[in-house]
Amino acid sequence: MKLNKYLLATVACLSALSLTGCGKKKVRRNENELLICVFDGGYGTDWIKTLAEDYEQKTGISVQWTADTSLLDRIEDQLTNVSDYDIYMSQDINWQNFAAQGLLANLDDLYEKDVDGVKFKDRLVPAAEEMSKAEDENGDMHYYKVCYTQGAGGIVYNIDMFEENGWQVPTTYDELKTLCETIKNAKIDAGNRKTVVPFAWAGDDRQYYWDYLVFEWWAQLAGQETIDKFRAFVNPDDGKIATGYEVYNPNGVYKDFWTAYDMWYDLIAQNRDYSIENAYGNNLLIAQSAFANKEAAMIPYGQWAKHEIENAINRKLDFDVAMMPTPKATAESQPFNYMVGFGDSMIIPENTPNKDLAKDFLAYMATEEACKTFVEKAEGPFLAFDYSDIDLSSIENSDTYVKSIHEKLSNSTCFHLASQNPMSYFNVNKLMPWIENNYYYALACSKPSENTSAILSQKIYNTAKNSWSTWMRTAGVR
Amino acid sequence: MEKTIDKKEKRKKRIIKGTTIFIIVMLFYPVAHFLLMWFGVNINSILLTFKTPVRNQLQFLKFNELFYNYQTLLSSLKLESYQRMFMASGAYFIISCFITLPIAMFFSYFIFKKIAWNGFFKVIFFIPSILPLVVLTFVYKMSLNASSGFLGNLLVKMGVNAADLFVGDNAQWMVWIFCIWAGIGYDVILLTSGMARIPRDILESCKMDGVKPMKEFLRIIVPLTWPTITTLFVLGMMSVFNVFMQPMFIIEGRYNTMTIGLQIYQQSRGSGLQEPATLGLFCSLVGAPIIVLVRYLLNKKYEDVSF
Repeated sequence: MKLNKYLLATVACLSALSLTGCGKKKVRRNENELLICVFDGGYGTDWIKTLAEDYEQKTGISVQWTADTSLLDRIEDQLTNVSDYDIYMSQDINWQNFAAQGLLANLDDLYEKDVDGVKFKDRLVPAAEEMSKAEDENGDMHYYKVCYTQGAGGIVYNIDMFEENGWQVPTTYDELKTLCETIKNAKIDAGNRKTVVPFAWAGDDRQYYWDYLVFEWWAQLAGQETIDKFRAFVNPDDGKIATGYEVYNPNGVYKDFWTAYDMWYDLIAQNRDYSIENAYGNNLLIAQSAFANKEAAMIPYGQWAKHEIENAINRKLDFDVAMMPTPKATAESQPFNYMVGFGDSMIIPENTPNKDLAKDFLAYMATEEACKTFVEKAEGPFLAFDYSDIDLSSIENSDTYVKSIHEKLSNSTCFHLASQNPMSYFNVNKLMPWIENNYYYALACSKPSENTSAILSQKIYNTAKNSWSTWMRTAGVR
Repeated sequence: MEKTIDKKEKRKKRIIKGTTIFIIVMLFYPVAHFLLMWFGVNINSILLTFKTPVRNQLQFLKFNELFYNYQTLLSSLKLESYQRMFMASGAYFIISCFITLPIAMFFSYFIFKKIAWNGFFKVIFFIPSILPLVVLTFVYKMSLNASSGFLGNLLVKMGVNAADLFVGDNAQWMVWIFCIWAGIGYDVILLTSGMARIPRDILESCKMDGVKPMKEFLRIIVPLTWPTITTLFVLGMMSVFNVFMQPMFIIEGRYNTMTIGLQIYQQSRGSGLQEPATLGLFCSLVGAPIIVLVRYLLNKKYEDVSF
């Protein structure tokens, strides 16, 4: 009998223990402590360290931050169950999706908050406000995120090398072609029996860096209106979502994308000697090293280029770099800047007890002081706030790279490809210019004849047509 | 007399009671495990195949379109990407069962026969099985890099365009080669263990009868290790659905290296869980009977021997 009692008690304890993982836990957090998780990427961590310290000094609120590369693997679980952080800052956060599930804090009051004498929403760059609204569980629109960075991408070049050899920064596509030929023919010794080539790039893991160039040529050729029609993912003729795959019709709004691809194809895929050896099979580190070791004059990259390259090679670059304005597709083309990473987000979980504190920190990030600190410490990237009244001369005087990014952002029409169509955000990584996130730059260099625009455009159009009904169902669109 | 019977009955009852408690306690964990980890998980997966996400909330499909996910899957089979995925997955059956396994059998026999350097070969074969896959794939890819890898440079010197190794159709071959290289060790471990159990008397008798090594291998070793070979063959068949980390780490599933397992893994990370659930259940329904049948046929090949 006694034995039975012990057994029963043991079984009951085990059952109770096994159930402790069930149910939502309430988070107890120090009210004077803010916990932030940032994606550990090309921006580095100096900026968040400095911002955290400055904020703590001003408010007395302790800010603890973590930089994490695996943030995206855990974020949904954190938002659904217990969140370890009050703010998340990262690329690729599926925020509309989370908002629809009620997992994100409503930020409507933050957008009305006063920052440096203006409303928070007026501190944002154009389009950022529109891009921060999403439907809640009931279908009502609210602000659920703050755009993280506004971004720039394109060709980063070695200023010293250009000056030493008397090369001019190309302003048109034709000039870029001529420059590449000039660099190749100059046969400048780069050591290790190599000569300087125009481009270092990595086909294995960063072939999409060419997008930054191609997208801007596309925008220059097609114009903002056509780009907006594309990213709407509805039929451009009748506005119907059911035949939205028509945006991929190579004879419609997508046509100029293929012209831009052809420009890249003629420049890079048809001229392997314009790139470092084995470029299309190389990883990023090899491309970064080649650029840093002056084996290549240019490298396609995003705004985080300088910081990331220096971090990868573990030393400061011994030459000045800048991001050139993308050479115009035609002489009449207007300058456009593709806002790389404009879809990146700063969000506050609904289940955090420190929502107000988190909103206050985001408001602090919109201040001129914080915006400037971000640029200085991240060495190039700009937050998605208005920098027109912020004096960056103290940084730009000593940093050619920051100056070039600032000029590119200021002197171009900025555009992005993030979409508010549920078809896009409920089908993650499916509806993109390169459908299903399949890139062809490396393949085009490996087998040019099999990857012409004529072949690829039809292939992508067919994929869109065949998969559209399934994607509509996934998005809950009828 | 009556007292003795009473005592015996009481003792019998106590024994029965004690046995019952023992059985209950022993069965508690496996039954709970089965209910939670098998029934609980799988029933949820099965139910998912009858759901659809509406604004990211999974809802049950209406009765008239209950099998919509299955219909969608069947219509997806007409898509080129799905056909390529099934072909790529099917290739692992050939690789595991008809390339890796025979090679492993061959080398296991050499190790078993204690040929010169067998200890060295043991280490060479076992290392890939000991190292974490992520490390192994990284080393493999880096060593074949055309610019900085030792093997890559060697290939370049031999006139091979090593930059093309992980681009386009070649990428598929590189994943297959990796799977063969890394898979042999696992098979060798199990096969050498199986062979080690074969009584030495049988082999000495063969030696005295002048049986040649090949005949010994085919007529003695293979039949006596048949249960291990059958197990490895069945595991090889299952690799059609299981392989996902190798193409993911080596080439991120690009260039026609997407497998059923990798597709399920990637889709499971999103919110549309009905798709991987349907694909998984479909593969189980198709694959399980085939695997069971093959196992049955393989078991019939040789009589089970105990020694």
